[in-house]
Order: sequence, then C-alpha cells, then structure tokens
Amino acid sequence: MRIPTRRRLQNLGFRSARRPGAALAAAMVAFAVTAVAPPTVLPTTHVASAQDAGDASLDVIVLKSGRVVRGKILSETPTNVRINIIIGGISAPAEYSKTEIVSITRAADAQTESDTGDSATADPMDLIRPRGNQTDDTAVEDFSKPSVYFMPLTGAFGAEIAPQPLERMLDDVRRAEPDFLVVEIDRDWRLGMFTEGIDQQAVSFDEFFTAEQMNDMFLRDMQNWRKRPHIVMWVKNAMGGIAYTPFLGDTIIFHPDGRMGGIGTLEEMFGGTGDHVVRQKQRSLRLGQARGLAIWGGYDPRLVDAMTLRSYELSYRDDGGVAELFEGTPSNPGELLLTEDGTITQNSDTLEQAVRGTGNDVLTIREESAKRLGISLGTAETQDDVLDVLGILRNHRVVDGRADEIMQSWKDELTRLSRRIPKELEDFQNIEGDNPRRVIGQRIRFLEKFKGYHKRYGQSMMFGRDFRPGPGNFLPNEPQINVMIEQARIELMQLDDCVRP
Amino acid sequence: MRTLTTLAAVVALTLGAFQAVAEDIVTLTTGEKIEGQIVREVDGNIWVVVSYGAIERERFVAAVDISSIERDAISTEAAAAAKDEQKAPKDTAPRPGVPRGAVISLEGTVGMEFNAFMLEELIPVLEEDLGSDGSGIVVFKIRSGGGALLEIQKLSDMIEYEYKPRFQVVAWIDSAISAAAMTAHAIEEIYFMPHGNYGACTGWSGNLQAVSGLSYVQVLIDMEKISERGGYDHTIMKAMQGHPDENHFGGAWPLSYTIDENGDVTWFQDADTGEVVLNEPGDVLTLTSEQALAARFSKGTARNLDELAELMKYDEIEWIGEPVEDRVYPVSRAEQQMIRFRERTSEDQRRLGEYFANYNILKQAAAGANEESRGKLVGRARSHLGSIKSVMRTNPNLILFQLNLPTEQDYRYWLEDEEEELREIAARN
Repeated sequence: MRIPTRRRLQNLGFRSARRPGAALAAAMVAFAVTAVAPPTVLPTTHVASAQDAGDASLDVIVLKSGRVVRGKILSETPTNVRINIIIGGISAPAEYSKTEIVSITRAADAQTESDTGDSATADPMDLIRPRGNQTDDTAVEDFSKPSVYFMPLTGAFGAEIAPQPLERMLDDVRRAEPDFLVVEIDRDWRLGMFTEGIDQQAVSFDEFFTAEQMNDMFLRDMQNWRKRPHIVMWVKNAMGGIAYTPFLGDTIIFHPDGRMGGIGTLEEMFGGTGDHVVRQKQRSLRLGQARGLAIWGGYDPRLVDAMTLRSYELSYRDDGGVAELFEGTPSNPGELLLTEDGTITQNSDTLEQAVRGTGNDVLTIREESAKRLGISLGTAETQDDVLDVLGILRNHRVVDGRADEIMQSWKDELTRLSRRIPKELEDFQNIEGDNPRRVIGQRIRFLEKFKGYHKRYGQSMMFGRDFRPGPGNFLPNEPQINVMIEQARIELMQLDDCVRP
Repeated sequence: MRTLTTLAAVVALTLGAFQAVAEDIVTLTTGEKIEGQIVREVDGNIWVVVSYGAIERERFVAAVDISSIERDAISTEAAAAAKDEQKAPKDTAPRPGVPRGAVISLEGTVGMEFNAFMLEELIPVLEEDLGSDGSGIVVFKIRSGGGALLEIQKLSDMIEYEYKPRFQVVAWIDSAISAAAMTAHAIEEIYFMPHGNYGACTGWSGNLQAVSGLSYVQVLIDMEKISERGGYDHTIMKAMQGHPDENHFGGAWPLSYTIDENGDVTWFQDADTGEVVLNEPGDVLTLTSEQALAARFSKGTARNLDELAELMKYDEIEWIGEPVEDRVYPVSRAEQQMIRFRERTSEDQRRLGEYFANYNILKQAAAGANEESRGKLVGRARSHLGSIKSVMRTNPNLILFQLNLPTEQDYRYWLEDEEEELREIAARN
C-alpha cells in the first residue's frame, strides 16, 4: 500500500521528528535546582512564601494529607478544584475535592482561602502536623520531591502482558498518585525455546488488536484520573502487538538493547482471500488506528507506516540537529535511509540481515535510531539510569507500589493454572461412581469451575508461554459450558422423576 | 456490513416499539414481591423468570405461598426509573448565555449496540435536560468498527429529522470505521480526538466479498445524499468506499485536494490534480486526525471537553451529568440509558446462541420424555424461549440480524409456532 505524499502540515504542536525530550530535560534540571533543599514540614510561612520562592506564577493548594500541590488552577466549583499540576516543565491535570483541601493560594492575588471556616486557625498547617512534638520534621514525608512508580509490563504477550494484571497494577498506581509512572516494557520475544527472536518474525498484525484493551487503559481510561502521572515508557522489548504502545507515553526511554517493531506483516494479512477492495479496507482501518496512537503521543505517523508496511520507503535528513523525515530513498548527501521497498526482490532482507537486525524492509526502532530520530529522551540500562535521564536521580522518592507483586502473582497463577487445568480436565472426563446424582453433581461443579476460569482469566488463558499452548485452549468456551451445565441439569431432573414412586 | 439482499424487505421493516418493562408481579404471603414473567402455571403453582441485570433465573412459587398476582403490570423498578426520568436534572435552571451539552457515546456495532430506535428513545430525556429551543448541544462520541449497512439510512434520518431540529449536533471521533463513519457523515460539525480515525467504508460480507452491482451503486447514491446533509464533497466518501472492480484505479476512488488563498477546498477524484493526495489508486481511505484537519474535513482536534468547547467557540458549556470513573465526560441520564442498552445488547448477543441451544435441547428432551418429566422440561424450555423473547424485545434489530427474519410479523409467526409446539408436547399422553 502506498501512502499518500505528505505535505508540510500546520504545526499542531506534535513532536514529530523533533527531539521530544529537550524541553522536558531542561525542565527537569530546573526543577532539580529549585528543589535542592526542600523542607520536610512546611513552615507556617511556606505557603505564602511560595510566591517569593520563584514560583510566583503558580497557584498553591495545601492538602490535609500534607501534600503541597503547585500549578495552575483550571476551574473551581463549590465542591471541587481542578488544577494543572506543574513540576518543572511537566504538567498534568488533577482534581481535588474541597473536603481534602486545607488552603488555596492563587498566584494572582496571593490571597489564601482556607477551607477550615475557622478564622481562629492562623496556621492551616496545624491541621496536618502530627500532634505532640510538632518540631519532629523527619516524621513527615517530603512531598516536594517528585514521586516515581516503577511498573513492569513483562513476559509473554497476551498471557502475562495482558489486560488483567495491567488493570490491577494501574489501580495501584492510581491510588498512589505518583508524579512519574515508569512502564518497563519487556516482551518475551523468542523464535524458539532457546533462540532469540529476530526483528521480522511472522507475527500476525492482529496482535495489535490483542493489545488494544491494554492500549485503551493508557489512551482512554487514564485521561479521567484525578491525577494522571507523567508516563515514561522504558523500552526493552516492544515487539509485535505491543510495538505501538510506547507511543502512548509522554516520554520514551530506550534500554541499550531496546527494540520497537516486529509488526510489519499488514500487507500479507488476508493473503488472497476475498476481493482486493475489501482486503484494502481491512488494512486501511488497521493502519488508521495504529497511526492514531502515534499522533496521540505527538509522534510522526509515518513512523507507523515504516514499521508496518514492507513497501513503504522512509528516509530522513538532519535539519540542524533535528531529524526531518521524508518519504522515498535518499538522493542527497546527508540523507539516510530508514526503510526501502522490501516487496522488490533485490531489496528484500536476507536471512542474515534479519538475524543481525540490520534489515530495512520495515522499521525496527532501536536505541540508536530512537535517539537520532528524536523519539527517545535517552538511553537507560537500569532504573537509576532512567531517573538520571529524567533529571531526578538526586531528587526523587520511589513509591513503594504493589506492581511487581501483582505481576509476579499473576504469572504464578498462570503457571498453576497450566498445571491444574489438564489434570482437572482428565478428572472431569473420568468421573464415575455408583451414585448418578453425585456423578452429575460433580460434573456440574467442574463445569462451574471451568466457567470461573474464563471469567477470571479471559483471553489471557488462550495465549501460550514458553512455547506451550495456553491452558484455555483445552477448555470448552463459556457458551459451550453453559449448554453442558444445562444438559446435566436435565439429566438430574429426569433422574428425579425416575426414582419417584 | 451486511449484504443488501434483504434491503427491500428491511426498508419495509417496522421496528417494533421498544416495549416497556410490563411484567407480572407476584406477591407472596410473606409480603415479598417477585417481578418477572410467568412462563408456566400448573394448578396455581407458577414458574417465574426473573431478570437480574443481564441474567435471568427461573423461580418456582407454590400456590400456597401466593397472595396475589398482577399480570402485565409496570415493575416497581421501571416505575421508579420512569419517575426519575420525570425529574428535572439536579442542577437547576440553565444559566443565561451558557448552553447545556450532553455527550452520547455511540459504541459497538452499528445496528446492534446503537441504532435509530435507541436514539429516538433518548430524545425526550435530552429535551428535558438540554431544552428544545435548539441551544442544547448533543455530542455523539463515536467509537465503532462499523456494522449493518441497513441501519445507516435510519440513523442518518434520525439525526437529520429528529436531532438537528432540536439540538446542535456534533460528532467527536474516537474511531469511526465503515458504517460508523457513514452515520457520522450527516453531521456538519465533526471533531476528532488526536488518535481518531474515520473511513474504510467498503461494504462486504462473508469471506471478504465486496458489495457489488446494483447494491453497490445504490449505496453510492445513498451516501451522496448523506454527504450533502453533512456538507461534504461526494468524492470523500467514495474514496472511503472503494470500488469492487479492481480494474477501476486498482479497486479505488483516488482523492486529492487543493486549498486556495481564501481557504476554500476543492476536491478531485484523482491523485494528479490536487496539491495534496489523500488516497492513491489501489487504496481505501481512512482519515487520521491530522489529515482530517489539514483537509478542513474536521473542524478541529480535541483531547477533552474543554478543548472541544473551545473549538466550538464557546466560552463555556454546561455539560450535563455526573462524573463517572474512567469516562472523560459527565454521564447524563440519556447516556446512562445508552450505556445500559449497549451492555444489555452485548451480553444478549454473546449468549443468544446458548439460549437457542438450551431451548432446542430441552424441547427435544421434553418430546422424548416420560409423562413425569415432560412438564418440567417443557417449563424449562419455555424459560429459555422467554430469554430469547426478552433479547428480541430489548433490541428488535436482532430479529433480522440473528434470527434472519425480515419482518416483525415473521417473528411473531415463528414464536407462535414454537409455543404451539411446546403446548403439543406438554399435552401428549
């Protein structure tokens, strides 16, 4: 599929091929400088003096939890306040109920509005200081440091990288309300049990739809959070269906071995089935949705085309330190090829190129190209490196979240399920006994249990791990189970009638 | 999208009015009230099918426990809901100069999870909440992969003749593919979300077989009229529909445009004339938010309601409804109805095969059973038939799409035949 020629479009504020993180990096340095000596308990004058401390343009909200939130108040109703929280150059909207607020100080008039209704309370901080020794500064957490939550999205795609554990982890993130959420994306990408995966593995493009429910959580669900963190996608392996997910973050950081791609099979989808125009429709709608994810994140959608279409040609030139993408192959010095038309036989990647990871039929974004194209903010091998790239290594607090525990617990559950289901199926098939009522009852109990697995694990049960098929593939589907339960109840009913005198 | 083979019949299809929740109310001697549908009665003993959300359960009540039965009554829940619907919104009178708006989500399959008769159901509630003087704003937030070709004209007519005279109608595109885009195409004001996509309107059925011949031409002409409703050049929708003949520009309608110094857009059904090519030969067009904005197809790109209001050139819009977790807009009463309908339809579609399978198994079992078991089995079969009836009541479109019965009368005949068969089985000696 050829992509229409792209003309210069009105700048919509998209990061496109520019360096997306330059502003962020500068802002983080600024934040680190201003937050060098943060107080642990805000002194009485802190709120008023926030205006004097170089934050004169920011509104300040003090919460009963002790947190001090700075930013721009967007709206205020009798019950709620919406504020665009600003930390350095990063901003994110949040909403607070007035029942949680001690005071609101607007930058415009530096007039403090207290929610206590008690004019005798001269110092609103009295409401949140611990009783007793009010000079014990070390007892209170330093909320002026940006908080960081690390969340793993790791393992087998579909089974472990799946909506259920992600939803639970994001619930925990939501409760913690961190300033930064670092999502470590590391898919298990292998060609065989003991063989590392190559860039152009034959993965169906419709893995993208498997990732859709997860993408929705970043794209749609999180937009309504009271406080949405700044999302950092830390890419170790984002291949196959999860290739576009990093575009949904606010910032991308690559691991030195990081890869993003492996989804270049759209043109082969459907083969020769049906009519050409219908195949084109199916490809067009998929490409449209994938491009949308890149646009959402402020990235150039031509990157999606290059990752997805073997026939697409994309190159770039260096325009004063900024990579400028263009369609076609290089024709001038200084221009570099990203992808060429791999449907032409002489251009098609060889097996060696595929194994070495030097093929260019489709774009696999790696650490180096991510930096050159301005997609990533930087490269990080460890969590500390991530913090360093973000500019908050020396001034941050890590949130003690449950994400790691949730992910591990999920993986353990799947492991137990993989062993349990085959055994239970065997037991189900071998139910016998002298008492037919009891036998039927046991069958119903097994069927109800299988139904429960469907409800709890959904599609993730169908996906394999370690090259073994998912345990759900051996179970009847839920409607079939319901019919089997009904049949068993009919048998019970008939049994009752037979034994009645 | 479905074939047009039954188009003529379906055009004549009169969708039955969405039946209100008239149910039977059984009052027990303990004072407890059971609301449901009585599916069987024997010597004063009754079997009642009770709904718990999308789940139905059959409950047996002995004659000695019954105090009274009220048949075809309006359930207390429905009465309460109806009463709620009579109330004005919590927020008081509209503020002068501030229009009220409501977001209605159109999600799922066109013709199933949203359709013309459901949109019609929402109008009275929307009028109460937004007023009917034309100042109220209805935002259709669309996220759909398409659906029934047959539903497009009905939806378009509903929007054109019922919604536009009453409200300012706006489309906010999350993902509008195929029939969903064709539905939105009647709306003059279209905004995109940044990740929004719109198009891929090729009609097909079965194993990727394109709609062709007379049916294809009919759809092209219908969509020309719908394009006019929205004020869009015909060439745009054609590029989204594609062409069934691969010899025709590779099965495509190419598309390009030029914007002159006045900002006016001229469209061309080729890839050579216009300055910007949107659709090459061989391709089917799906617009991204960037493309839609650049081509002046969309009025703008909005990530949230604040941005949408700004693009619509309002200082403020009072968005009606309650904030709900995981939704970027307040949920109005009309939207609550829409969500309930959608969830119910999705569940019904998922389980309809199961209801049919159970019904047929029980009918066969009853036919072959002895006298002792037969009555009970017929009762259970009736219960599953009741579930099927309930599904069709909720969404009459399923009569065609799932039962393949072109008219409601055909459906009634089918029901009568089934009930007659059950009576015969029950009466056998």
